[in-house]
Amino acid sequence: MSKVVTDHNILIRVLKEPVLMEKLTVNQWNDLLREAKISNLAGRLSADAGAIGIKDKLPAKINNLFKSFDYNSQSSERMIRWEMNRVRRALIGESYKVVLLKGAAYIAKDLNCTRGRVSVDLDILVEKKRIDFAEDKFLAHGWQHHVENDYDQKFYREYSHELPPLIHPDRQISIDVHHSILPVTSRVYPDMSKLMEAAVPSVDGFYTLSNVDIILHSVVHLWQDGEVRSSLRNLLEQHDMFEEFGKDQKFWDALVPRAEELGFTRALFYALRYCKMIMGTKIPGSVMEQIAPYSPNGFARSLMDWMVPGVMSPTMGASGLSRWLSMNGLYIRSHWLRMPPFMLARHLSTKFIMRLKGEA
Amino acid sequence: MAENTQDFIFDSTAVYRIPSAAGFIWSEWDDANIVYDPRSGHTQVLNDFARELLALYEDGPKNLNSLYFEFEKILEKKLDQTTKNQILETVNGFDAMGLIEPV
Amino acid sequence: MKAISTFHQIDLAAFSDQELDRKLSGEGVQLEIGPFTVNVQLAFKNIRDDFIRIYREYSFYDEPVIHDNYVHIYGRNFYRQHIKPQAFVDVGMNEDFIPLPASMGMVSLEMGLNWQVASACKQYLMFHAGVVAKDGVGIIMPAASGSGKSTLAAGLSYRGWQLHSDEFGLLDLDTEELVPYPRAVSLKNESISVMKKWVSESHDNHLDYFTDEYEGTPKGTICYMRPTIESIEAMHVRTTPNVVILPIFDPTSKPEIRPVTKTMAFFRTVMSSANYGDIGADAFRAISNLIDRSHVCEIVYPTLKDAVNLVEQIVSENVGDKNE
Repeated sequence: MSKVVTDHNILIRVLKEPVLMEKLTVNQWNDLLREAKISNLAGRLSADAGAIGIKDKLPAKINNLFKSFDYNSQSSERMIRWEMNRVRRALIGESYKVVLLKGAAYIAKDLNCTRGRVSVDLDILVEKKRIDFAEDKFLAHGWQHHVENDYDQKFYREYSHELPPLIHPDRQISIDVHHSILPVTSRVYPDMSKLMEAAVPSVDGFYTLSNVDIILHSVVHLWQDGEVRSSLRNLLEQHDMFEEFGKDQKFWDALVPRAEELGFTRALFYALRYCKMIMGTKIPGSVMEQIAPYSPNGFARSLMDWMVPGVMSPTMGASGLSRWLSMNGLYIRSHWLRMPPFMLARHLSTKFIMRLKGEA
Repeated sequence: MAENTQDFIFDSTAVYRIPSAAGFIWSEWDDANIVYDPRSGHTQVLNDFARELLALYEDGPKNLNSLYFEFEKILEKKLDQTTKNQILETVNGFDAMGLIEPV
Repeated sequence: MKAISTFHQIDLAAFSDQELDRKLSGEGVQLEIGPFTVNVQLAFKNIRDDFIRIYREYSFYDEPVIHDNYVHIYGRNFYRQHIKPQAFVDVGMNEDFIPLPASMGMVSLEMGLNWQVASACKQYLMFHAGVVAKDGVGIIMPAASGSGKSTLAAGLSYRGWQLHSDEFGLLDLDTEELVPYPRAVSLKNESISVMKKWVSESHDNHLDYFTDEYEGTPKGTICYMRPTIESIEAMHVRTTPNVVILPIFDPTSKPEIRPVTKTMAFFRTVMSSANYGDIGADAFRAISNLIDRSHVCEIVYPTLKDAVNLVEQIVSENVGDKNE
């Protein structure tokens, strides 16, 4: 049922085939813009229209709105690039690898998925033994912690894979300094030295992860660590990267073995399956065969097939009970994977109590 | 516009320059010089003293001593300690705003 | 970019109050305000009544049109609507608004639309400012809340000026013209009685121009006022701004015009802009040009009448010649 709905989703159709924008009715435009804004993909529509040169065939009103989306995504990229500049200034002279993650890495590598993209944070990765040095440098250069709450500070420092977020008072962007790409409490915990070793030099003295590791990081973040709900944007970025990196056969050769080495096979199974199912990503048959043994059992897979397409966009899919189930079901699933059960209970109940007290 | 809450970061021994990609845009009125930095998106106001110092960096990279030396040539006199401190404070501000960077 | 006029070719309908009410409670109406079209749905009768009183002279599209904004005010369920009505606001932005009591009428609608425009509009440079125009003179009055800029802009509009907006000044970045956006004027607390008296001095049946007064809102008592018919009719007439006035309301002051430097005017204008930072270099150039071309000053005033006199004086002494 949800597959049919997905096929009818206007945003996904246009993302797969931007030239459709030339032929949309007024009502379709309104639906498309509404969906795109909620999924934080409005800038992407404008960038896609520009990339295939159809802007002059679109209604004047749309070009007027696209101008707004363009300023917005340009502003986001400027902020990320400037924060990178400031990080470089603060860490000048340090000899260890500073690895850009997520949006910043995509910008540094000028990937296709950065077009029209809006990011709000800068994520960087350093070795765990360097993280205190890095933190001292940031504090000396004016950044401040903006998690004041003791419980959250403690949570970050003891159980998380990053420092409490840092913000410089002159700028509105938060830096997350990671020492791992997953919380240290995750059941599947990757050997970070492998990722650091494979990291490659990038712009301005920064590093990025290797192409295979970049995509696996996005994959594990979405399909194991994060919230699947409302994550069409992340699915799209994976689709873009599979297509862009996948032009090189070496990428496909390395993908599944690397996922096996790092323990990310289940997450990669989901990513390949749903990119192909929802976005029509071109994935070699041999790769699908390689990943097939890592499928969950038939019942769990059917459940995921039923739920995932329905929650990618907040406005997508069935309404009512099945929608509620899929949203909440998937959230709990990803949280459960992230932490050992006793800690999950503690984290949730502490959060819950604080919310009741109006403190969170 | 920046509130200066951080430690002193200017490195007195380093050579500083205006980044080649800076591309500052200026508006200048009687009372002040306003600069927009397209890389940061930040807008700063510079008085004539600060404007003159930044212009010296626009002429080429220099360390603190050569900056003092050039400024002495403009003023046609030796700099006293108060002026030197003002210069140091100003270039520290430039560094914090990212208008100049160590080479 | 070409002027926006290309998409005003659709005939704009004049609906009866009954038709408007029916549409508002159903599929929604498509209200045109200056450069923006907003789809409005209102599930509460009292909010619809307020809406119609304020916006009935505006243009509505009778056929589908690409809209910039939408605001849907709805109740959670049948029982709550009748027992303790709460007006929920949907502006499609993943943002949860704290619902307001439905008895606060248009407050939820106007605040929802404010939030949406302020956070989403980047194709025009936006100032938190009162903006008025007349005979080729365009005045921007940037100021924080509490400076009386809303009251001043609205007051000028009931003395012959075209109201562009009492708090959302918009500037076209290509042509550097002011783009009128004459929404309902939001009056707070003491300014409500001031404006009622002000309008009564020049207009009959002046209470038709106002909604009920809503007490106990997040911003105190609020009342909405309809812009003048002339301002509504001129909602597509643009003017190049050439005066920037920084208003300061001080009930104990003597009315006074004070000089300010161009730099001060520049920064006060920048600080009033919600999207200067996002627009970047284009915004810097536009505000620099604005300040270059404009007469700039500050006024201090104890009453609305004093402020209007000061503005007229500034215009006649400094920019009057340019129109001849």
